Amino acid sequence: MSTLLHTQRPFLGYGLGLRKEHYTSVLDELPQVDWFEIVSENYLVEGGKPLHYLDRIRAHYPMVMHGVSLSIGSTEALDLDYLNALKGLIDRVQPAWFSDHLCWTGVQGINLHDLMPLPYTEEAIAHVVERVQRVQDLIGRQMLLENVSSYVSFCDSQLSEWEFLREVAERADCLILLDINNIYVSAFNHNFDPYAYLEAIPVERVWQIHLAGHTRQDDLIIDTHDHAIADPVFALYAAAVRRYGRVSAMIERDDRIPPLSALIDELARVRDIAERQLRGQVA
Amino acid sequence: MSRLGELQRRFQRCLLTPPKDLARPWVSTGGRAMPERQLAVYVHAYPARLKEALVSDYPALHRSIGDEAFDGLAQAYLEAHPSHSASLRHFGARLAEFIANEPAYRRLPWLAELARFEWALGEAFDAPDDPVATIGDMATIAAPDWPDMAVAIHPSVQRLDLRWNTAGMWAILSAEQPTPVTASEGSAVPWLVWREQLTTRFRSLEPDECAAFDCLCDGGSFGEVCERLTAFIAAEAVPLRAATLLKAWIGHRLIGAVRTGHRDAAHKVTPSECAMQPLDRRDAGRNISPR
Ligand SMILES: [Fe+2]
Repeated sequence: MSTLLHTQRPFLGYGLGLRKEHYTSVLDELPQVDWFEIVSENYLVEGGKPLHYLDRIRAHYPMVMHGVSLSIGSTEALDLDYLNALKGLIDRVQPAWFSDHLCWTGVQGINLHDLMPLPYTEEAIAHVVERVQRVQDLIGRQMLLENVSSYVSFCDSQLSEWEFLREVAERADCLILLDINNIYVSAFNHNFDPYAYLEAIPVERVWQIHLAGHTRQDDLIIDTHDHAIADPVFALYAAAVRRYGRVSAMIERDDRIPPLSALIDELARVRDIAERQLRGQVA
Repeated sequence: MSRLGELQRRFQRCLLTPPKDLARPWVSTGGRAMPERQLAVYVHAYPARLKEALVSDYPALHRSIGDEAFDGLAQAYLEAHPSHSASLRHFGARLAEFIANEPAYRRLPWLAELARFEWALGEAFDAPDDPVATIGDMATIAAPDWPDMAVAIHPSVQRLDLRWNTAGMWAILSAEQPTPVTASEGSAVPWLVWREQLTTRFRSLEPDECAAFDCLCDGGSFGEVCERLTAFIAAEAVPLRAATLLKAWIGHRLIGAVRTGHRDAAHKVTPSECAMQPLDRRDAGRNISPR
């Protein structure tokens, strides 16, 4: 029996990705943000400003950790140095949970520093499941896996993306960070129904939601995180709240970063949409 | 080789050495975009993302040669030294060495030194927060223990010898409104780059100070430091000069743990009273963006 079935999904509220541009505003203003997500790799350093601000902001806010280098789908060996460093940061931050992406980031010793998609095959499921289990054993807790935006589809794929994600999560007994914008982007790029995706993901495994902006480039949508959240993504988010209930949600913004107050306004809209859905009203 | 592993190698090869025609038989035609267009997103994003990391680690160098030339440098460097680290933080570590060994950059002889200087600033920026020695710690050292006393240099400290007016160029290039800057070469001058609390700093060293500091860096005792100073000043002036230098280094938070023959002194971090002008224009951290 999985540990999951005994665990109540925690609800942190509505959060933001912590970005260095906002360190001093956050500490000076202590804004009404329920929690922050940090990019783990930004704090895998030995000292100085990153850890200085991290510790001080952590003293005021709940945090979760979000990694970009686990490369859970790579056929390369797991990077144990990275995992040990991550474990050290988890001990320091005491996050509500930690997450990374259902992707690979390189082979043959090279890190491409991108979230490369996997083919949706039985072989890839078995490979990822075994590695997630090892990571969870090593870190000593369940992890969340996030769906990525993708621009390529492989001839090898036998399953849909949502079948792939669900199978991995259930067999590895891990949790899911559902990126609503990534679903929207991939649905557009690969011609599938984003609402069917939501329906296929098991409710109890979704512990966190990402929202972000994207950019249309001719015949593709690119997940750029440099704009406000688009209206169709808000609509998809409303459907997600109807299906999954109260899930900790946050905005990722990584480029053309606006003042903190603009993100807090955007977060108010996220909160408003979710709370209306939960009260059974129409957004 | 598993089928998954084979696919990953093929895909990665397209990014590392992009073929002219990106159409690949393993990419499905079922998507909205043509297979070559699907792959092109990844092929174009890869060098752009790594170049962006170099720009953020070498902002003055980027300004010094301009975006177009920097583009070429970043591309050549990426081909020679793809990232092998979990963090982008380490990607640019070999840029100075790369520039120095690349014939194409011989016409910019100051460039490698600027890269070395800027990387040293980055190294100081997030070096460990080890405790520093205080003047108070020194007061507890008994007179007979002084000659054998040795110190650990704080891990943020970088010692560089610069032949060009690199630090001055860096300061001008880092200004809000950079003014024209001319590189000029002279004899090698010793410099220190380090971090005081959260502020990255740099300064040059006088010849006698350099000899004394390098002696400490090599594990020399205070007695040996004094001996080095006799090459520069009269023997009777040495104790005062040595004490003055040590006091200044402690004030600048360059000195970590102090060891005497008898015991290891324990040190706490205390706020610095030093009022040097901050030289640090760097951001408060790097963001490595997830996508
Ligand atoms: Fe995301």
